Amino acid sequence: MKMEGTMIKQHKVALLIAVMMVLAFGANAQQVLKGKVSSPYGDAPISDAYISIANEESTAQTDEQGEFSIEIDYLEGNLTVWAPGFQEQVIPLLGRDYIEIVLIPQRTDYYDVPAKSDARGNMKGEVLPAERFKPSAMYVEDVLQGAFPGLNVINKGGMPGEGATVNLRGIRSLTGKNAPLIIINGMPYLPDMNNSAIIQGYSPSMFNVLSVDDIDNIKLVTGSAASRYGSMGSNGVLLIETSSPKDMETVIEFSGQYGMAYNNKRLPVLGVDDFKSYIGDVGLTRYEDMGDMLDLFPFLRDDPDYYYNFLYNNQTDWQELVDKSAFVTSNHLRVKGGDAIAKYDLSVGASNQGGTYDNTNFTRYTTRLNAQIELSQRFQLVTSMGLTYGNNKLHEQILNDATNPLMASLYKAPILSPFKKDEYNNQLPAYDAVRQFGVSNPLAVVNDTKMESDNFDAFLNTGLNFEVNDHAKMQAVFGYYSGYKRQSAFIPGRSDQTIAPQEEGVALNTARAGTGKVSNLFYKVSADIVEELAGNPLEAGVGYQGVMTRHEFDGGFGRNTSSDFYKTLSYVDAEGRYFSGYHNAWNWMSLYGYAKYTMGNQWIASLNMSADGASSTGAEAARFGVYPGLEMTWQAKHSPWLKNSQVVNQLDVHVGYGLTGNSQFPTGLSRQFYTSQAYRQLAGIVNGNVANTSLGRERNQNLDAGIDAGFFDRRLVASVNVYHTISSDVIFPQSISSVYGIEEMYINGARLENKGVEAAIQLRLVDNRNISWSVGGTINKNQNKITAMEGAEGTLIREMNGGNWAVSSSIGQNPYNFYGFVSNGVISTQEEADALGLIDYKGDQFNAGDIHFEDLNQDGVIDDQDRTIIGDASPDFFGSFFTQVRYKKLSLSAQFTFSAGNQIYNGVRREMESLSDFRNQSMAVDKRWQTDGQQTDIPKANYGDPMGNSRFSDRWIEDGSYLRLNNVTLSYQLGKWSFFEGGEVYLAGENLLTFTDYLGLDPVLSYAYQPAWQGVDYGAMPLPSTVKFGFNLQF
Amino acid sequence: MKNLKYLLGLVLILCMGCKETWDEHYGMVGTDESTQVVSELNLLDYLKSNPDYAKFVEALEVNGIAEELTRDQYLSVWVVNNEGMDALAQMNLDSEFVLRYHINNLTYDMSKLRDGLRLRSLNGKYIPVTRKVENSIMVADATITNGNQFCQNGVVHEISELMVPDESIYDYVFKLSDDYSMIRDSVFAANDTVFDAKNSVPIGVDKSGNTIYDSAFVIENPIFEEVDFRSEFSQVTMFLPSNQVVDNCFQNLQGLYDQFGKPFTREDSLTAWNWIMDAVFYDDIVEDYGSEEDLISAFGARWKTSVQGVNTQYKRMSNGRIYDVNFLKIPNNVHISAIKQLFYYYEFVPDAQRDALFTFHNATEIRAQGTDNYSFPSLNVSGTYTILRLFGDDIPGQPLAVDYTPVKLDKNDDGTTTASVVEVPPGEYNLYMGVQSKNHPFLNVYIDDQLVASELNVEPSSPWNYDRSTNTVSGTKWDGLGGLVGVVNIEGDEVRTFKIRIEVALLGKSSREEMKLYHWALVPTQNNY
Repeated sequence: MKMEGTMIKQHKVALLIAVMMVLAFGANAQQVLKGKVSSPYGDAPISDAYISIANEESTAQTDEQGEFSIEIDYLEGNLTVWAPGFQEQVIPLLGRDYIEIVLIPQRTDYYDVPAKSDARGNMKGEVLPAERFKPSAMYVEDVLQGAFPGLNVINKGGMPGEGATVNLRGIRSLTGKNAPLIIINGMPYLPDMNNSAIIQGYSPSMFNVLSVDDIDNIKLVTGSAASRYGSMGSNGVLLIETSSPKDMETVIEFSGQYGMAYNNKRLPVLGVDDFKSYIGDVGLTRYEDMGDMLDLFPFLRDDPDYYYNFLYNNQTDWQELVDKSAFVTSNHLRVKGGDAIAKYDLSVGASNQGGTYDNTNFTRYTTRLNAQIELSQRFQLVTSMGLTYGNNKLHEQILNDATNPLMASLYKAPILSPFKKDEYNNQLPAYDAVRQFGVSNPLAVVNDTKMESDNFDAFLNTGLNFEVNDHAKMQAVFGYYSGYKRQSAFIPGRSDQTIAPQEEGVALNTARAGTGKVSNLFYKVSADIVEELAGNPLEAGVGYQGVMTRHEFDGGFGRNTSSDFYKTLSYVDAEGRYFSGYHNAWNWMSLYGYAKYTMGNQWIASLNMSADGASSTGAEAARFGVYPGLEMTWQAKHSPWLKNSQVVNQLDVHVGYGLTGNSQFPTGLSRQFYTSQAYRQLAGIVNGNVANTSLGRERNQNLDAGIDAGFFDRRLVASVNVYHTISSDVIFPQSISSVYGIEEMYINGARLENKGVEAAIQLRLVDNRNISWSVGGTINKNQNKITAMEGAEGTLIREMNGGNWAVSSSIGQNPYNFYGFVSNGVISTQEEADALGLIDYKGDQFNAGDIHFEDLNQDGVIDDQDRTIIGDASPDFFGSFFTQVRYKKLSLSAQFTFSAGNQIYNGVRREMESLSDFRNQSMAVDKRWQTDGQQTDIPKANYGDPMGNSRFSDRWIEDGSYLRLNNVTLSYQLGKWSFFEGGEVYLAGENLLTFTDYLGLDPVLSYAYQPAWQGVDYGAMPLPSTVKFGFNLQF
Repeated sequence: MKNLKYLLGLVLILCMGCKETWDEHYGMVGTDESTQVVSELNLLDYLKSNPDYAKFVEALEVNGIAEELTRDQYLSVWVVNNEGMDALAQMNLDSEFVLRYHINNLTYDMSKLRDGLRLRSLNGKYIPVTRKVENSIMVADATITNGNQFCQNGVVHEISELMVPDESIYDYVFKLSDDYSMIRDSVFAANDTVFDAKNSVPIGVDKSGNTIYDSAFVIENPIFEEVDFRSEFSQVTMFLPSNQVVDNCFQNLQGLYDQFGKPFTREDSLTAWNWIMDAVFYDDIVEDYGSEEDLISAFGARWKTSVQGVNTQYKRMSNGRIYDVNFLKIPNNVHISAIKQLFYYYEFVPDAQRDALFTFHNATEIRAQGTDNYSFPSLNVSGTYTILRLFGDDIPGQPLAVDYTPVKLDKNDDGTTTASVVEVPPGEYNLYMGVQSKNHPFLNVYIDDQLVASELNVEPSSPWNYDRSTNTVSGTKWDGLGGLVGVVNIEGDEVRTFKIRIEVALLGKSSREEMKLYHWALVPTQNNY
């Protein structure tokens, strides 16, 4: 009732104001603005709040009752209100002479849905300021996770330094880049995102060059504003601003965190008894004579007098041996300050993250200097420099027991000992050898293989700002990024036979080494103005910018050095030595412009436009593309019927259409080039590509509409966006005649569509001075679909890993689907098998105990023609939600991330349930088919899997949906004390809980940045749980 | 607060849901009893739980084998019900030996029991598996009546009767009576007991640094390299000749030698015996004896089933089969390297027989004549080549020719030497001849009126001059075969004589009607068995 009364009153006031406005119109006299400032906590008045008005000289302060009065020329323009401990608020006057203002207190919450911002001249996007970063975040990915609706951040795994795959609103390109454009301090940052050729399954995080502590804010541009980056903007733009000096006051900040990472999830593998049973079972299908088997596997007989029993009387839990908890730390020191002429912000950071296997870690040292120098009143030099050195010790994350400790520990027989033993059962210090099962000793894999990657990165960014007048500004920027990468790998095995030989037994040891170079050169000149046009503000600007990038990688590969002591390429055998690499130069330049016109504080029209060209397009394709993006926003809150509403704080409706492109595909696709091919010792030159000279940019039309709203003093904040992107001229490989000497040619022929809804909501359930509780989250529903593929007959199939599995692309489907056989359980009886009468391509019949694969084309033969789509890695939904409770200065917060409807190809389980050799298997194989009539879903053990029961089928495609407790933080805000200015201490737990049906170790994984490789579990190290203690202090 | 409740509820449901999927897949929870095929009991407890097997279990316990069923190993047990166990007492065998034959290592479920499979039982003997029809599996002479009873450490198959372990060929031959002493003793004469380092366990080091072993010894025999009839792993066949059969064989052979004029020497008997030893071992199972005419033994000897005789009722051995041999013949090409005689032996034929044996056409003069001298100091032989020399008149259409019945020399008891007719076993031979080749006219050669070679130019000294070419004594030109005339076939079933007809083919440089015959030789071909 009270509320209603207030509203009636407000309406009356509004009416009054309107009448007064009409009266006052034309009267050029001084006006008096009165108002009241209160806090949301029980409408308590705020005293000593500062009130100022843009372009007016008079200011005011509130009295004890929170009331103020100020004399101004016009009741127009924006009122700025600020009080200590509260957020600054800017309110358009809209002709009112009485205003009630509720200031929102400064919050210490870590989770807040990001608010949209389009500060002067900048693209409109959602901003996540540094204050909203989780205090325990070590890497940029930790901050991005679940922060922005629409942005899917998928950790590649638990290997330190690998980061995450980042994708905005799904797959839009089949050949070009699919990750958002990253802009660091205004300069495009284009890292090399290929997987390493030296360390398989490894690609470093693209954000490794930046310390998260150096970041001031992150902005995500999803809508039509991305058109400003033209053919680089199709996947959205992620703008990162590093911390810059703001005040002259000298501030010292130190943050440190110290914690433990551990991994306690293990795959259940066969124990000693079950393993023996399995070995006996599979061995009988391998050896004609059981005598041969008992010779090879003497432990199958329980003979207490057998001398070598000591070799086989162990019960080793290899996973437990390999898993180690690791130390995690990050330290960061910043000094900032300066004077009226020069201001600086200097920081150094050192972090070390241990992985949960020995000999894995990521050590990083960063330093950054951001400075602003006022050369004169109008000239300003802005410069930033960053240097990063990172050292990554790794293991390969592929299905190979010689280099992946996880696979070795899963495969390795539990009856073997990790160390050599003597006949009295004493352990000796040397690692035990490979032995008859052909599996490397996991401890040797962990400790004796060497996989190392170093990166040296330097950023330089210098800009000259010139303020022409109050309305106009000019800017020139030059930026350079150089990254140097050095990787080496050595797999021993020659000297002590603890690691199984590679390359089908040829390579007793293996050495690889490579170096990579990336350079991004950037330049930009621009001019921006702010003018009044017909009484309304107009912001506009034009600019010219360009990027020149080089990505190069050169690797050498060899095997069989004379002993494991010699670990480098210099010592490898001449036979089997080869080199490989790539070089991709890619240049882009753009002439861009933008304009933003605000009408009556209610209507905003903004236009972003780019005309750009890139070196990747073919000689006959159009040189330049024009990419306009237009958005209309209605700020309904500023409309007469809402402007005084105390319920609605914000209600923005926007609709936009943007055209962007994707020219970020390899330059070589439109060029004729040759490539080297090794034949024995000789390198030859062969045709690498037949140029498609008309290869042009991909074209992305993006329709985007949404509402951003805030209610009840922003206790409820919500935003909803719908989008529909049509990507046409999408480049895809088309099979061509073998006359060309290459298998496929890339053409602009496909069309993709993405449709989706993304929403964010935040609700402050309790909000008092002493206690508050809020919940919120983001959710995204996305659907990707191919709607056309020119000239492609039906389904485009990509055989992965030499035909081991496949992905398909076909019209009407997700761009990448797992493509394999459909299984229908295990054939239980021989009668059933005979009735089915299915044979494989060799003509062998599927018998009882084999998998019943669906004969999709009904020809009685199970062959490649019976494959179909069996899943895809794109989630139907993903997002995050959070909850945070604060009691006085103590707060507890938790963030969950989730994904639903995505499938994972569980390559590890395929290995662990293949029932085809003498390596250990998962506990599930205890259920294997053994007798006629047995109902089970695990087929019989058969050496070599002659019927292909473990072929790539829906047996290995699993639901990858998960709900993860990503972060829990308990923190306490410190007050000012002695030389302390303030800060916080916290206790954080990361990745403590995951709920999933996935049968692997971790449903959150990504093998590579490329979308075709998403959702593939090749034995990735699971993301460890981490418990940390940390603090941020200011002096 | 309401929200929190829902949230917690949701989390709880999720939590339980996930755990279930994981546990179910990896079998962490007890699966449904109806789908359980494996008994939780170990083999012994399982057998005990079935009263039908009480006698079997009892027998195992009495013989101290029961413990094997509870050890840390996987076994297949061939169990016989109480009724069937009565047969154990009637068997004239060690009952432990028999019972151990009913247990083997590893889990052989029925899907693994292929036809022809052999399972090594705990007594070291192999159990043969026969599965001619999909649903009827025989092990030894028993049939599986209730198979695939899975236990925690193996599988139990109930079979119709007790199985009787077969002997190995080695044991069988070893125990053979003296009626078989020749083959038995010859086989075991080659036995050698050697130290087996691979299977010996090093147990220490002596004062001088030599490794001391808990030594294992193995019996080795060269025969084992091809046919390991001692190993239970192998599947071999042996043809077993008794002394009687061997004696008969040798007597036949000796008679044959007499007939073609060659002394039966020690070497010859050794050759024959070695062939027997080679021919009786086969490195796989000989099925359907007689369906193939030629069997090649493990040592490469050819056994013609149409010539040799065995009793096709073989004996099943644990590692193969034994066939009893009832007739043995040493193939001609094994014991005959060549039958060779000189033409001038004509001289020693008593006058009364000459006309019957030799017919000359257009011959004016016939004489045995010494010609060139020879000397081979390395062999300590020297002498003069003696030829049969014939001259004829130059009558057109009537070439000089001889129908020659081969003769051999006989040293008579009274010290005189006479010649008698040579008889050879029928079969295919290569005919070789030698002449004094100098200025010799061309020849036509017939055997039993069949033309073997026509217009044969015997003038080149190699290979036609005497017997100085082809298979001579190594390093010399002594005692060779001469030139190959052609392949001849001595027809018939019995040892017999034949006729060589040699005539001058008037095609030479001159019209000389002359022959200077030195020797003839028959060498059995591969087809001459």
